[in-house]
Amino acid sequence: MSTYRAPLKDMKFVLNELAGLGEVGKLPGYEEATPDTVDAILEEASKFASGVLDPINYSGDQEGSKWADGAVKTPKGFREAYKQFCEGGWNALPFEAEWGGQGLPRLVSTPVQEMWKSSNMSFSLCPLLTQGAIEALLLRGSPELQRRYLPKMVEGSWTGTMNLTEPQAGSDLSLVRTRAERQGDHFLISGQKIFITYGEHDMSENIVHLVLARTPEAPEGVKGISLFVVPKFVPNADGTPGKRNPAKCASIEHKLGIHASPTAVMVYDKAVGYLVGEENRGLEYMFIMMNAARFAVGLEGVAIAERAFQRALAFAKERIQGRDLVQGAQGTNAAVPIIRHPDVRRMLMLMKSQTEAMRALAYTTAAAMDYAHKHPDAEARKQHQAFVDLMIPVVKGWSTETGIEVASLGVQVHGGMGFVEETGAAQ
Amino acid sequence: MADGVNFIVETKDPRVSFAGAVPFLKLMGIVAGGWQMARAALAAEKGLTGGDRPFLEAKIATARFFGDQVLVQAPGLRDTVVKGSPAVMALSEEQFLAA
Repeated sequence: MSTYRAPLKDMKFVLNELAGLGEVGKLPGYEEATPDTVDAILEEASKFASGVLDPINYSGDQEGSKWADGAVKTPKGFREAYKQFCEGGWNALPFEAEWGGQGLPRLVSTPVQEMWKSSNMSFSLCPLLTQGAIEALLLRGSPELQRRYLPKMVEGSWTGTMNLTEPQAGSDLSLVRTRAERQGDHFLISGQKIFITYGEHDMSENIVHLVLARTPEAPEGVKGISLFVVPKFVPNADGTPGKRNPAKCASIEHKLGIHASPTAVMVYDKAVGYLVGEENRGLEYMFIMMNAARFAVGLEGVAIAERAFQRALAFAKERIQGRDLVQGAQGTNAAVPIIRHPDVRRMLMLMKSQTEAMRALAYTTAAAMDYAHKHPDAEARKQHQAFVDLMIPVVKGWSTETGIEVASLGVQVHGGMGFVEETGAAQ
Repeated sequence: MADGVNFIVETKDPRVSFAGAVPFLKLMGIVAGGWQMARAALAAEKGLTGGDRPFLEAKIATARFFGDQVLVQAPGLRDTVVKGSPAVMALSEEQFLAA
């Protein structure tokens, strides 16, 4: 059975010795990120990851999310865990205090998010998508949209989704066909979207879809795509969720993994939607937001590698098989834990060293994001932003590819047991 | 890494540059990761006096392992980008036989 313990000592080493948490904490606006506060946050997050998210990781994957008649039921324990997650303020942690967040540096929210991803990847995707939607609204939402949606989304009682893909428009979004027709102060959205993570679920009182669509007069191609907010329940004047919008979940995908995370097919049939920013600039907004999301996906590679390493290490220490190469040749016949064997050790070292390298690069990049955001000197902000722009594709591409390699090594350390679900290595 | 950058920038046929894109990304990752591991080893060495010796010595040994077993892939990846990219598009679509 697989269990997760946050690697706090390793995380703090990177934060303090490599990413310069002390210096980041001196940036204007980040003064609350003192070493003591950060320690306390990491300790509490670690308890939440091990005590609440990890226990429903394996069961959640086995049970999976279930679709019936347009509704999605998440696995046992997910609703309660999400409620605790929001009540504990964890959903709000990365956001500005103005909207109910804690205004902490990226360098602090990054190790916390690594813990969510390691302890329960399926669960962590829900707040990740909400964060993406929040960032898009912060970037270009009107003051009215921001006032209506952001407090609920930051607190977590409303979750967010990103609707880009359609069956004929995957990587090539110029082929998007979903339509948006103006009607007074809003639009009516019609079309089908696929691959919508947490597009429908039972953990929150409302779901806020951010949808790419075309207005009737829009030019062909990527320059004719606009971004809309389409709520599951259209908010009433007092802010409570009101009328059910015709934004329906037609089915969910049957996937290779992350079975607890529902991947929805969404059908919009004249659903009420509100324009974000200007018409025909939707793709541009979406991609600014996606760049931040790519960093978070890179962190998933780090998190999965860490989890695979912990599982493989525990197995290598307890599995007794074969004699020690040196003592065995001297006549000692006792079988030893497989961590004693050089090739197992090589695999564990590959897992450990690459996980540490990826984490160091990701946290260092997170620190650069904080400098790029808050450094008092404009030239320094520009320099740090250039470093961030260079490193985000590396963090994303290299860490996810390497995360898969490290997870594969973890299966290999287990031998045949690596193929058996109950060890947790396959997951 | 500079060889890889120059190759991608200077190659006229965009298909050949694109064929080297993912190996180049991996090269970047390994070199940037190696840079961080070297920083980790330096920081650990500095802290050895009075620090948590087994933990810090493990950091140094892990950085050494990364250098000896992972970073050594960098020259091979450079060759993959610079010398191996033209081979990627060598077959015609018809030459991929569907059994």
